[in-house]
Amino acid sequence: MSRHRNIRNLDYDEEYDEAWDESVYGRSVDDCDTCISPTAEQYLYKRSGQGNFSNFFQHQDEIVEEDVEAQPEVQKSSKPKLSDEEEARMLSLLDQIRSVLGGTVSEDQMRTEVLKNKFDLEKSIDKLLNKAQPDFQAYPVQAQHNGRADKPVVTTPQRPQQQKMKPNKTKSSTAKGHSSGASRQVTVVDSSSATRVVRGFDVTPSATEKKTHNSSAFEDSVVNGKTASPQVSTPKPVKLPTKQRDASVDVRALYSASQGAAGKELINLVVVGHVDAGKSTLTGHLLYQQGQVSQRTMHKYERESQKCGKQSFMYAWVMDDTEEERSRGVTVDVAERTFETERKIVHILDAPGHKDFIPNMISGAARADVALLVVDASTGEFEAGFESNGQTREHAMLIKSLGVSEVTVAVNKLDVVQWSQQRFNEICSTLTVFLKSVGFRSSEVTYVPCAGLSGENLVKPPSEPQLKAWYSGPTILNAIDNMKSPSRDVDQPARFSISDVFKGGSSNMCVAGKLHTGYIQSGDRLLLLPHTSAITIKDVSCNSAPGSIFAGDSGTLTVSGVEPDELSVGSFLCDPAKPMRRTTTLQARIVVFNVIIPIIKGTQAEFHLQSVCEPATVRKLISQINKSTGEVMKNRPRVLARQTAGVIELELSRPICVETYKDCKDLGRFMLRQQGNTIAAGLITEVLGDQLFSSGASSL
Amino acid sequence: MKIFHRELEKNRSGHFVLMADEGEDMWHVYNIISPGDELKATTFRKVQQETATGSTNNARRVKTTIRLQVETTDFDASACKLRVKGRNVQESDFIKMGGYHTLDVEPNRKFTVYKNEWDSITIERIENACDPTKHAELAAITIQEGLAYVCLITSAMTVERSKIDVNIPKKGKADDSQRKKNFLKFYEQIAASVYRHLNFEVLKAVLVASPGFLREEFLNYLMKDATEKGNKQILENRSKFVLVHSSNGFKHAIREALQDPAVAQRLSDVKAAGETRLLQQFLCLLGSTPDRAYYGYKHVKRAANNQAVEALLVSDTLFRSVDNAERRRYIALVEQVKNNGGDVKIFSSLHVTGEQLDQITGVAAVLRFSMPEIEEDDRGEDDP
Repeated sequence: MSRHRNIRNLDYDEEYDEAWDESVYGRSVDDCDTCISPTAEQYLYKRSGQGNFSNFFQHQDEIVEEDVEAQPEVQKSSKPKLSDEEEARMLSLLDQIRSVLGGTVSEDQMRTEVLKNKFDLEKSIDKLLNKAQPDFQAYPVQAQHNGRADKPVVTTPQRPQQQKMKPNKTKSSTAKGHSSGASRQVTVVDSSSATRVVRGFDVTPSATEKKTHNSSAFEDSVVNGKTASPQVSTPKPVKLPTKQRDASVDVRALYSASQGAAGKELINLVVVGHVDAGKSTLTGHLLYQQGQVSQRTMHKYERESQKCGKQSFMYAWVMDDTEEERSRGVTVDVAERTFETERKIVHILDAPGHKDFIPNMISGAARADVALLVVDASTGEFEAGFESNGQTREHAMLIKSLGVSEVTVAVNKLDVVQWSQQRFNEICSTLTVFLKSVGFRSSEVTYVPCAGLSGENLVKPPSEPQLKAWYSGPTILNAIDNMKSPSRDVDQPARFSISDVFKGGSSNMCVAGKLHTGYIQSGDRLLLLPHTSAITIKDVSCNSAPGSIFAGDSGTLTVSGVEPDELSVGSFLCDPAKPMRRTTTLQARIVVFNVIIPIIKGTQAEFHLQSVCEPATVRKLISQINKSTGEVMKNRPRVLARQTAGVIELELSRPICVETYKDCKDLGRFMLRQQGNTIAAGLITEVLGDQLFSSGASSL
Repeated sequence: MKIFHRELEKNRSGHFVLMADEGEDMWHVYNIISPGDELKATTFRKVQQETATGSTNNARRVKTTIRLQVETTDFDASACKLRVKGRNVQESDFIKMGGYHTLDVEPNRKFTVYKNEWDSITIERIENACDPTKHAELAAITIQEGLAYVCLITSAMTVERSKIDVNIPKKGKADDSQRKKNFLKFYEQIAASVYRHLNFEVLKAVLVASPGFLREEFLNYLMKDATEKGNKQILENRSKFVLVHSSNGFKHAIREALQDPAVAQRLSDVKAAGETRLLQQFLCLLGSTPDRAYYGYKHVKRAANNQAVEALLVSDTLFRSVDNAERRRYIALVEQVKNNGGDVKIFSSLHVTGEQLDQITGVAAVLRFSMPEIEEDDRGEDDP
């Protein structure tokens, strides 16, 4: 039965309480260790007796009734008669001893010891403890049985009757056993009271009996080996794995194998830009032209959007699939799709452009390697997006700070201005200056004219004569294809950031997100942080090899071994051997954006890192530094004004998981926002007051 | 709060007999009573009586009046409970001199506060608390996808009534019923909190602040739900709901909501709104002309000495300081500024604005003219 009970976490006091209760409430047959009536007993199948099977066949004939009958006598001799009062004292002492020793010592030993020491608690515990070690080794089963099966012994009011009954019971059942086969007999011996049998051979069981029991004891101890040992050591509050997987895996080899077949590099692309620049339409049309969206679906969207009088949104509907997004015509959250080009697998993230949803855009852009910046070329619109509070500006700064290395600028809606080359050049020159100031080198920026709605110059080279006349550069797709994929750190310890939690098909929980470093395959055991619990990966679904996910991939993991409440957006899954650090305070180097209110000690802001969003407070301004050289200009400044850089200490309201920028670039970058404006971008330089996660990793 | 009696000597010692009416008054009392003061109030005490022979009979609870010298005070903001611990200083049948006792300050029961020195700030505080026109109740609901707070804002405090945290799956799945279901669950929980915690008889307005369209959607849901449930109170008070934009749904978004000009106008008599404006002014000044905005005692004191302080922002935490000398220091500063014609605003540390002010040392000043020398003098000294 040990398999069904969580022996390790067994609260003995509670167990005994149950034992008392049972007389009041009655109990199901399942957790009945001694039978209610002797006749019922023989029909009960005891799993704990399984170990005896084979032995029993051999010694079938040698089981003699006298042997069993002898035991009660033995017992009587070992147990002096106690008065009621003494019995009560004995019971309370036993309980206390048990709470100290757990179930490692047989009750009998306890009793004798207590009697020897004349009901002195301290002395008896000492004696027992001194004995405990050898005793435990000698009688592993005994410990087991006593741990759970001696309830009736504790509830001694029943005891005298039981003893009287015993001879009867055993006789009748052995008799039955003989007639109906060996398997019955197994149950008989064991169920005639596990504890008694064990106790019996303390003294003088017959040679054969001894052999049987010893071997069965041995087997039991093997079976229960795992559960038995923790009983000795103090129970651990949380059981955490130490390794991600048992067999070591050559990740590089697996990785190259998975790459070898397709030969295409993965690239994460985020589409950003001012609200209504046409990001979703362009993305949707691109996917449609790439054949990712079926003709039928597109036709459906066309009809439905026409119905609401928003036909121009038909391609955007490919990305915007929720009701509110469609009815309002605004992207609210990041949409993800994957498609393949000639040389690349592109994971495209369509970010929202509206100011209110920048937190969502940050969580999307943080997962991207490169970006597609969409600007509206029509008169007045480009300028609106480029004003001080336009999203073109803010997004460009955000993606640079979030580590995007290359940008393709899609000059969209150029058809509205009759494919004017002059307009295109004008926009290009304005943006070139701006993007340089943000930190993109001109070699990292490509400009492509296009029209998202009509689909001009997205996949196929331009057909429009007005555009053909002056443009011969790449299409949007070519430009994406030409961008460089970053290297993927598959050898690093696993770090998976959770950006979505939902219930999977088979009632298992699923988490979606991006694996920043390392490698995860189904069956892995990972650590969920900052919640700190163990999690098992049941299944991995991702665009690369089935059942595995490599650094850089976004995918969905089906997980088990965790309560749904424990999973939350912003948590991380990581390698239990090398967990992330959990902290509430950290030191960081920040660059202050163009803000009205400067950053001072005590500034409250929202801290954004990947999908994490937590309120944070600036604890200390450590120094103001030169933006480009990084040398300290002023120690302990009073304020960090706009366009300056500095080193600060941040405190978060709840513990989160971070890495220093040095260790993991993706997880060391963050943004500070306040009242809807991004006030600073930062890199984590040090994790302060960190609770370097250790309790699980080192304890087991 | 009500004042029944006051008696002040020339040396400013004396006592007040007060009665607290509601939870907010407790907060005022908490700010009035500081360690070292004496408090007389009725309380219950478990008393064990000894007979002549030395045997004790069973303990019984006795109602008695006790006068304590206060050692510590405890305020529970969510329950609005104030507990005062101290030693007995008055002969009594039931408690020895010097014996410890802890009492709850009960609403609607008179109590007396004795102080060796009543300062102007405390007296002003009592008078303000007794002014019924200064009570304006306001509620705020801040929402972002999956996270919402329901708070009550009174003139002196912001009390978080409930926090709702529901995981909402993201878009982009073929089957978005889960998302819809969880959204409904989310709104349902906010609505339940609204029904439970908001009393529309005293509330002037309910701010619903969120980014995007969540506030509209929630209000629609609430009205629909109230119609279905026949909740008249909500339906009749529809006009009290004010939709405001905020960039997120954390609790500090209330500050953003109160800054909204439309709201500010409507709530001009809510103390929190005035505080918000002033704090924002200070912070903006700190960005544009830092020589006119200072924070930290040392800097502000120097500005005050030069009669430069136009507006002083002080958090009430400073007046609760255990250190008597420190408390007196800040009181002196406030009086100095007042005498020089400056405006003094005492921020409640239970408001989000007060929380922010506390973070920047608790005292800040907007100056009449630039004083760059303050900062220059300070080079290389301790933390501001």
